[in-house]
Order: sequence, then structure tokens, then C-alpha cells
Amino acid sequence: MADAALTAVTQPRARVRKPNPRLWLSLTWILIVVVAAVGAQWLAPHNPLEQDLLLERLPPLGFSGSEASYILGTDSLGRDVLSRLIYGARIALAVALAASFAACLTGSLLGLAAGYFGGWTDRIVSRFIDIWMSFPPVLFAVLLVAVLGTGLGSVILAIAIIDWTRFARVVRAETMVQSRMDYVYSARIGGATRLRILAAEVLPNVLPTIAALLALEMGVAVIVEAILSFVNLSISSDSPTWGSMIAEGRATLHFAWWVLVFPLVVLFLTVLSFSQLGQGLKDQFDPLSR
Amino acid sequence: MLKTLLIRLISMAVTLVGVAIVVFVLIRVAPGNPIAMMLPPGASPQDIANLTALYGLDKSLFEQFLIWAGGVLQGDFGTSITLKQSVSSLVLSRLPATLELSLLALLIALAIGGFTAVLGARERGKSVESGVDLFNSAALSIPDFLWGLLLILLFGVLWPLLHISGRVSPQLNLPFSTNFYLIESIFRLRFDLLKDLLSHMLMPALALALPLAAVISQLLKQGLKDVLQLDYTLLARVKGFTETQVILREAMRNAALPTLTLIGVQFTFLIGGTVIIERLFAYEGLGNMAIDAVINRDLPLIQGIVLMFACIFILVNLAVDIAYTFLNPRLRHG
Repeated sequence: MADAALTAVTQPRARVRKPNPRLWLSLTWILIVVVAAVGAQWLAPHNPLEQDLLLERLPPLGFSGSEASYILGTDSLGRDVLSRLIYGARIALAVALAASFAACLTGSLLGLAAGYFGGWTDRIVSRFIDIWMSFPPVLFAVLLVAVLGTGLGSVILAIAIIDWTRFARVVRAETMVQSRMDYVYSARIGGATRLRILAAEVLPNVLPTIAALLALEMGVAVIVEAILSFVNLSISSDSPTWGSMIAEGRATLHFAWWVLVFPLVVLFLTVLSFSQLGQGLKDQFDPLSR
Repeated sequence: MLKTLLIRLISMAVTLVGVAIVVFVLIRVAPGNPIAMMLPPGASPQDIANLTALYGLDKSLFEQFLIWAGGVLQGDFGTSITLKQSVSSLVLSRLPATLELSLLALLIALAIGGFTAVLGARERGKSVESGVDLFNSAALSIPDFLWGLLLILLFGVLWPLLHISGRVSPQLNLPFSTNFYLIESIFRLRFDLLKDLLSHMLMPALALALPLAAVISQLLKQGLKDVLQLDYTLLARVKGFTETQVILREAMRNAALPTLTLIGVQFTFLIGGTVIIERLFAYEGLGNMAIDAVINRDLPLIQGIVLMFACIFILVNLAVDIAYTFLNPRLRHG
């Protein structure tokens, strides 16, 4: 009897905690990228910038004409593809983290304020969101980097300036829902100030949404950086980025497929992992989809 | 209803003015002197000053904006600095290419999304539905830029079926009198040209369409599943309709409405995506020209293109609002 009761109590929990394979695979890949980024100087077999025209366009291991120390082959300047991928992880990850947190902070604060205070605050923030959403984001990003000048800082700033609306829109809507909940009224009756209610009552309930959006935004940031590198507007052209590798691979597609394929696979897995992570977080927190 | 529409129109105008101000200020604080880039090296400061005055760039920011806005209201968007042609004619000559690409992508998205939604709803709870869900989840997580690259590898290299760059084969003799090549080739019954155009446009259009197809599929499938639990669909089944007939004839009308609103917003995302997709496929549209304009610091051209994009975005949203009002009986009679 007691056993049955115990299972009845524990079972739903066990189901919730069942590890989601997609989530774990995503986390594993993100961990690999993090390790590559942090340990680039020890992990990379070659200098990512070292050119050797005698070794140009070596195919990856297993194809005829390959060299043992260039596992993924070389590009048309004889640079090692694997080493460039590993160093590229640094830039991708730096952009993903910095840009997402900046966009998240700005967007969430504005969204919280608009959703909670309503009135003119809401009208002004919503108008800005409308204006921002009328720009094609890629064009906006290219424009901003042209204005700010190329470089890591500019890319991060540009992504944050564009993507705060992603957070602001959702957080605003979620805050509106939460601030009409009974617990907010009871806190108000209890004498809490508006700012206190916002910070102590509303924010914790909006936080799961923000966390899920943050993971999604990291994937977006990685892609935007790759797009900017692709049109040659990101970091200076000699630092290895996945986007610039893809641009080069696109140009030499018919002579050396591996120059395009490997960065594409890495970018693909990274973006997919961040988006699965975001989706997984969303499902984990959302009682309805559980 | 008229009142809501009027409020929408005013709000649209405010947004457009906002866009114009943001982009105007933004590109003018940009470092890099476009005039100096136009002149050959060794030009005298006097030459630079003369040319700056010619383009009105010596005036204050506020004056420049008034002059530009005054021109825009009369349909004059200025002259492109690098291409030496009027911005409006440049933008209008490229616009059809981008519109055709976006509309083709929308059609593909509707076809794929609609088909998979009906399929998933009909086979609900079975493995087919899980397959549809998996496709949707993959199509949604991968942005158009990556789809484009994957398609290039697939249908450009591994199995070279389609062209990976351009809008039309350059050696072809084009009889067109407008820049709507795709539409005109259909009207002129030139199916040879249509085939060539499609073999250039299919990959970029598909890359743009896949994420939207997933959104449509997801939402429409859920809508259909909800409606299929209602009594009136049960009645249709009792009348002897097959499940597919029930879905298409009875459930679709009611399930499609919420999807429609979302398609509007998502379609603007798709149009925004044309910028990089056109670049990736060297497709001669507005977005490709925009990136060149930014790289060359062609201020009047950038302004013109961004404003054009903003207009398209706002018009799409308006069109969806109007369509929604007409399709939703509660609003139509309200």
C-alpha cells in the first residue's frame, strides 16, 4: 500500500526528469565547442593563419593526396581547415555569449517595463519594436557594422542592437499575463511597492521564458556572425571565422568541397544545438507541453 | 472597422517616418567619406568640397533630412553615388526580382506546410505525425542561410540539377518588357525561359521557404487537430466523408484563420531573409544591391532600399489585417 502510494507520488516526477536525448546531445556538442574555444592553442594541430602554398587544397584524410597531419585538409592558401575551425569556435562563442546577454538584458528590461507599467512606457517601447521590426535584420546588421566599423566589438554590439526586440516582445507579453495574476494582487495588498513586485514576484515567473529565449538567441548570434563574415564585414579578414571559411568554400566549391563542408557542418550543429537547447528549456518549464 | 483601419494607417505612417529617421541618422554618423571614395586619388580638397556640396552633404543633418524627406514625398529618392542613376529607378528595377523570389518562396512554403499539416492531422497519433513533427523541428531550427548552403551542396555539387548563381542564364535572349521575368515568361508562354528562370530560383526560394513551411505546418496541424475534435466534423464523418474530405472541406476553413495572421509576420521575416539569400546565390535583387550599397557607402541608395523594405513589411502586415477582417465573421459584422 505504502509502496503504491510512493510510486504514485514519484512516478510523474520520474517522467519529468527523464533525460531528453536531444537536449543531452545538444549540450554535448556545445561542450565540445566550448572546449575547442578555450583550449584552441593546445588542440589545434597547426597555426590557423599559417599559409603554405605548397600544401594548398589538400583533401581530408582518406582521400588520395591527403597529408596525415592535415586531418580535414587545407584551403586554397594551404591553411589547415581543422585548426581554423577550432580557432573559429572562439569567435563564434564570444559573439554568442556577449551579444545574447547584451540583447537579453536590454530587451528583457524594456519588455518588463512595458508589460508591467503599461501606458506610455508600453506605447513608446512597442513603437520602437514596430520600427525595429520593419528593418530586414540582415540588412540592418550589415548597415550597423558598416557604421560601427568592423571588429569583434562592433559585431556584438550590432547583434545586440538588432535582437533586443526578440526579448522585448515576448517578455512584454509574458509580463502582461503575469501581472494580472492573483499573486500579484495579493502582493500589492500586502503592501509591496511596484518595483518590488516586479523584481520579486513577476521577474522569477518570466525568467524561464527569458532563459529559453537566451539559448535560442545564441544560435541566432552565431548565424548572424557567420553571415557578416560571409559578406566580409565581421572581424578582420585574417582571423579565422566559420563564416569567412564558408565564404571561401563557396568560392572554391568546385575544386575543394571540404573547405565549405566542414565549417558548414560545425555551424549547422552549433546552431541546431542552441535551438534544441532553447526548445528543451521551453518545454521543461512549460507545464502544458510537459 | 473603418476606424480600426484608419488607426492602422496612421500608425503605419508613424512607423515609416521612424524608419526613415533611424536609417538617415545611422548612415550619416557612419565613418568613411563617400565623396572621397568617388574621386580618384589625388583629388584636391576643393574638388571634394565641390562634390560634397553637389550632393548636399555640407549642410546640417536636420537640413539634409528635410531636403531628402521633401524629395521623397515627391517621389524623388535622390541619385545613387556609385551607380549615378536615380535611386527610385534602381530600386524599382530590382524590386520585381525580389518580389518574384519572395512570392515563389511563399507558394512553396504554403504547399509544403499545407501538405504536411493535412498529412500529419490525418495520421494523428501515428508515426507519420512524428515524422512531420521531426521535419518541422529541423526546418525551424535551421535558418535560411544554412538551408541555402546545404541546397548548394546537394543540388549544385553532389547532384548538379540546378544553377547555383544568378537569376537567368546570361546567354539567353530575353524578350521581356518588364522586370517581372517569371510572371512574364508565363504570360508569353515561353516555357523554355520559365524553366531556365526556375532552375535558378528554385534553390534560393526553397531555402527561404523551409522555415516558413515548418511554421505553417506546425500551426495548421494543431489547428486542424483541435477542430477535428469538434462535433460538426463528427457529423461530416457520419455523413460518410473520408478523413481527407473532412479535413479539406470542413476543418480547413476554421483552422486556417489563426495560421493566416502568423503567415503575415513570418512572410516579412522571409522577405528580410532575401538579403543574404540573394547574396549567397548571386541573385540580382534588391537585397544583393543593398549589401553592395552598404559596402560602397552609397548613402542615397541605402536609404531608398531600406525604406522600400520597410514599406513592403508594413504593406504585408496591412494586407494580412484586412484579409483577417474579411475572413473572420466576428470582425466582419462587428
